[in-house]
Amino acid sequence: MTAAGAAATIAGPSPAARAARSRRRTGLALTLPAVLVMAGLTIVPVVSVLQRAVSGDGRAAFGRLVGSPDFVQVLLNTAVWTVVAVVGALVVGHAAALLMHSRHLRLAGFWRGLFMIPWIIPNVVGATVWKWNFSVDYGLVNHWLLQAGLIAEPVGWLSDPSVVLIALAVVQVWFTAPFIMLMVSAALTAIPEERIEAARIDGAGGVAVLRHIILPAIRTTTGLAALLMVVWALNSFTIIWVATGGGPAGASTILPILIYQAFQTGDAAMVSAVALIQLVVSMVFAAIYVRAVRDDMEEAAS
Amino acid sequence: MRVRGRTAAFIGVTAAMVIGVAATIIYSVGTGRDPSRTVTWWVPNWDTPIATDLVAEFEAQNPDLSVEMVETTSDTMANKISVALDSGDPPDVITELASRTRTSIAKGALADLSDLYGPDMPRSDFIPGALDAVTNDTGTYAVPYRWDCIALIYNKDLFAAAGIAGPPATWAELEATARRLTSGDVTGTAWPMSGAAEDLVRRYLGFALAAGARSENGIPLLDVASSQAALEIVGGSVAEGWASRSSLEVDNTEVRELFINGRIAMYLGGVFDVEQQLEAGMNVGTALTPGPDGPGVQAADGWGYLVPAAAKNPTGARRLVEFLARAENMARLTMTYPARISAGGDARFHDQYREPHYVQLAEHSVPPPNDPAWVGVNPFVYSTIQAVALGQVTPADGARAIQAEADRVLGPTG
Repeated sequence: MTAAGAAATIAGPSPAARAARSRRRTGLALTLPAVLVMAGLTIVPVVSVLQRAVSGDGRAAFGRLVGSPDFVQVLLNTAVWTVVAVVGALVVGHAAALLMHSRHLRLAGFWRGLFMIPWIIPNVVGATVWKWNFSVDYGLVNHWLLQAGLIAEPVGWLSDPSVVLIALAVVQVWFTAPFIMLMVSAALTAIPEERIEAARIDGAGGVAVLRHIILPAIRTTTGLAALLMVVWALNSFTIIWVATGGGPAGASTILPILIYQAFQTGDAAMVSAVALIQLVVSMVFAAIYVRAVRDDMEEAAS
Repeated sequence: MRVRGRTAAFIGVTAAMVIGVAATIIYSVGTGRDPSRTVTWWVPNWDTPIATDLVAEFEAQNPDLSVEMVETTSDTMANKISVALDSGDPPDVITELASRTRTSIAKGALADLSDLYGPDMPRSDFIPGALDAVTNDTGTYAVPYRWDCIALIYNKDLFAAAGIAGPPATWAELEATARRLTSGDVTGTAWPMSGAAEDLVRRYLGFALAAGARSENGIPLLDVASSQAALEIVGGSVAEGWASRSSLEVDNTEVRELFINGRIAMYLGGVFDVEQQLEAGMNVGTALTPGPDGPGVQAADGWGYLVPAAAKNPTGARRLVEFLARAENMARLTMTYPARISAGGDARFHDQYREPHYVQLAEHSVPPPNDPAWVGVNPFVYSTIQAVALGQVTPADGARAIQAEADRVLGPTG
């Protein structure tokens, strides 16, 4: 050993390095319980599903699933459901937030509270209420439309395969739009009033202010909300299950419904196969979501 | 110093919580129930009032045992029971639908209760078919206590208003009567096409069995002709308009609501429905299910007591099941018909409203097809019936599709 080396050994790490190491250990110790809980509740079930999905039974279930004439229909249903539910929630949520933010609106707190009701009530209750609202025999929706002369005979909102998915997506919008309103309302309050005033002084109209000032300013919130809505829509189950059970004739069956149907018949391999597809689709959007959140935090920090 | 004070308070509160939780756990473990002295029974909520009385009597006769009742509900019990049996930590006794037991039997999750049958509880004392549903080559895995099937329920006032003298007895009469009754807001009949798949499939199967299909060892032996005949009635009636189009939106309970509200004139339902209709002041009648040219067939089903293979107190569980299965106790607990013939003598099981259901059960019913493989086919059959009702496929094409699926899953005999 050289003299310099011996000196370094005797001196040991600097106090700063020791403090940094201590902080790392403390950090690891503090996060360990959360990591263990996450491993128990999330990673283990996911690995279990993956394991079963790639087993012999799982591969056979994939074959049955892909070979089923209904599989393409389920994927199409999932896509339609997601697009309508997400776009609808974004449009309604943004419109409601802008309305609540308007200086012309009186009792904004009251209206905001009223609009939040669908968000507050349990999904099962809301879905049951809408099931009755859409009923051919007793439904209020048909009653109002008939009274208004917009339809000549009751529409089978939940029994007509051509409209059932759209009708249910409207219910999903009813449930989720209040959350968008809440997020966008918070973002709107962060826009400096002077910026809007300056645009108006420059002659910008309402549409121009919305397009060039407001929407760009809340762009990050809109993006995050959209991604969150996609993940929620892809995992949505209660509304469809309570209202139609995925019917009629599979017209409202989306991936989570397919998983539960397989669970009901005790087809564990099929559950894992469909869950894996669901997991892959959800992970794509979840990855985009995480990246967007990280970019947003970095942007805010800078 | 202030920070130290807060830290000390935080540590104090945390320590108090930890000590509290630990003490609770230690107390619970120390004073917890003794498995050898306790029997846990999962009982459906509609049985709770009478079951509570029976448990009190059981505990009085068996002072060394205590029964802990846990309520289950119709919409959650299937999954709850399945998960409990799979987990290896089940209760000691479970009240479960007989048609769902075969899946658990196949998994080896249930105890063989064959030894409970003997002089005090002879097998011959059970309604034909009741034990078949819970028996295989190796043993009998449940004690049925309530057994029933559906039959025709009709609105006498609507029939009289349409000038119809009595209920239909054949398929041709069923269709003709339903068409005649369909007018304005009223439709001839309705089927539960939304909700649990087995409710709709059971109705389809009843017609298929009447048309020549058979059921053996829990597997229906279908053929295209019988299946088509059943689809023409259950699905085709909606497509042709003599069954309500809202069939596609309603489950069992909602069909009953349609009937009570006068939107349909007749339907196939359980005798339990009739009591509610009479309480609602309706003028109802009951009759045997129409068949091709006489009484039709129905798949009967019921409820039974199971003892899981992993029960913590199997001896206590058997003693409780033996007590509950006594004819007098069976008669008290059942809301429809007791599974033991000797328990069915009471007049309340044979009044003018219940008698047709009893005849249907005793003379024109078969055990429910409940083989796990057939249960796996149910969603396909359910969806096909809906497709026929929507006019997307013909009954003939639907029958061929069901046959192909049954052959694929159950083998060529399915």
